[in-house]
Amino acid sequence: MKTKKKFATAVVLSSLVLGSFLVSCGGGSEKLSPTQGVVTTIEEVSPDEFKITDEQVIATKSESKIIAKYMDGHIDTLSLSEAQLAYKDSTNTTRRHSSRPFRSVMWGGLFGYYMGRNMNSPVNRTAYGSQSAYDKSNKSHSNLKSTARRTRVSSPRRSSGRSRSSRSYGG
Amino acid sequence: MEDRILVLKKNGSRSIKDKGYQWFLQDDYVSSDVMEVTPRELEKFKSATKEANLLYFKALEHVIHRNLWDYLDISPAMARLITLDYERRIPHIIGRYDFAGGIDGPGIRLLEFNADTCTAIPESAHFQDYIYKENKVKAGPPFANLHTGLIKSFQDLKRRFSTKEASLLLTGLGHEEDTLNLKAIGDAARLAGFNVDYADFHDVVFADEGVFLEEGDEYVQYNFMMKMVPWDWIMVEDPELLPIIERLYRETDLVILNPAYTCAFQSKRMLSVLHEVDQYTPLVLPAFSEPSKLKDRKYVEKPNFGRLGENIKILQGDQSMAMTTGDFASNINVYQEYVDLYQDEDGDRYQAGMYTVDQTPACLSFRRRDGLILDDDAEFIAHVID
Repeated sequence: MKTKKKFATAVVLSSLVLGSFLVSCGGGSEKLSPTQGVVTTIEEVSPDEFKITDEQVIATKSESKIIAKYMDGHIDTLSLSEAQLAYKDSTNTTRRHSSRPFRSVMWGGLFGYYMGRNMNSPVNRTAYGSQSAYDKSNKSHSNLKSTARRTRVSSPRRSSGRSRSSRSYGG
Repeated sequence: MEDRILVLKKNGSRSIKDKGYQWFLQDDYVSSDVMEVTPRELEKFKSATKEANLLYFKALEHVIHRNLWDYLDISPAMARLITLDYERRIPHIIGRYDFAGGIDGPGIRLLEFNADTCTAIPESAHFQDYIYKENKVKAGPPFANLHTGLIKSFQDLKRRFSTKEASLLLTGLGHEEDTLNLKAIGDAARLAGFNVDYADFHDVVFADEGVFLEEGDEYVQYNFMMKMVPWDWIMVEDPELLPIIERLYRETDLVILNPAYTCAFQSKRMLSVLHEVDQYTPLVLPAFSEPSKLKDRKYVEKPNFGRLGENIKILQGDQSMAMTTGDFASNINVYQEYVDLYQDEDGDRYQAGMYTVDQTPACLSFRRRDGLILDDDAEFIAHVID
């Protein structure tokens, strides 16, 4: 479909691994991957210019999607896996120019973290159509980060206390 | 004394097995006898619980302001956590007050407060209802709102910390009873909207960024922890963990339930602080750090952080009348005036327990023993309101 392809090529990816990105972190590298999903709604505010109007964190990562609402009333939906596949199909250079508004909007919002953006970076105010949408996504970013899977934590430690599983510690 | 024991046929075993709690059916622990409690007696138990709760928080403030930590045998690192959790107003999710009296005449007297890691939760929250329904008892249902109370409390917690993902880690030291008690709490938390997982305490990873479980080559974070691991156990067995937890409290707003101040409540020396705070209320038995003021009557020697009725001595003057052994012989003690429990026609003794959820009375239940000291061999006794 014409609109889906236009939409899909706007999605920027720096990694084909679903939502992971390598960052330097004090002498080592840590991978942060979101474990929850997001549903991002973007609206065309002027020809080829899109803003994020809402982002909703959801429990299931695989159900993440982008809902694009066009000025002509047309609505298009892209799942996370479709976005991934679409990025692979980036051979059509004539489409790249018109995909720039999408690109910055997607990268700047929560969806960017699924496209390879560093989870330690905050969402961009300029990607959002309203202060309330931005504030909501800002809060959601903290949630996503706090539940992200890490491949490394600093000074991990387990309890070494003596105990007996043959006795209850209740009362 | 009036006979308040209703002898029923079924002990709820069908439902207990259906719900995955069959572990409790061993050793005739769940009785089919139930205690008949009048509505007026129930109201008195609730009032006594509210009074005891107010006194405990008043006593805690007294301890904090006067720095009575040595008196309670609480280390400076633990004292800092207690003060922090008190200042943060982390809710006391679940505790149980143990009482003597309250049935058929004698006034209610507080024995102790299981504030940190109370158990008998599945029995109290669920088995009482199963027994009531399976026997089609004509009297009123038991006062057992623990499950609904916990759901509401966890909903309140989720709302209060709405910017944090509601991820709850249940953790214990491996005993099945403790794990099943955590399950009862976790089931309520799930219904309140938390993602809930279980891990043995020795598998929990404490890191600079927070609390994690390791899964393959990744770490999954939890913002809330519900432990069936006593604070006094951490204080003694793994004290280096305390400053790590303190930093996580300050920097990541980590929430551990039950909060650290329940360590102070769990210290039985607090019973003597309660007596100091209010020596006139009949609810609080006279209690002291040494026995000289109690030698003219029967009194009980209790280890400060004792559990399961271990290392208890009942004395008259210097004469020991009953005692139990256990793991707490090296604890400092508190000495509390002895008071008898309700006895049935067979001479068995009953101790009442009232659970609180977020400081509100939520569920009553009883335990029964044929001797003077209630220990791990006590039976669980449900009740009805009649």
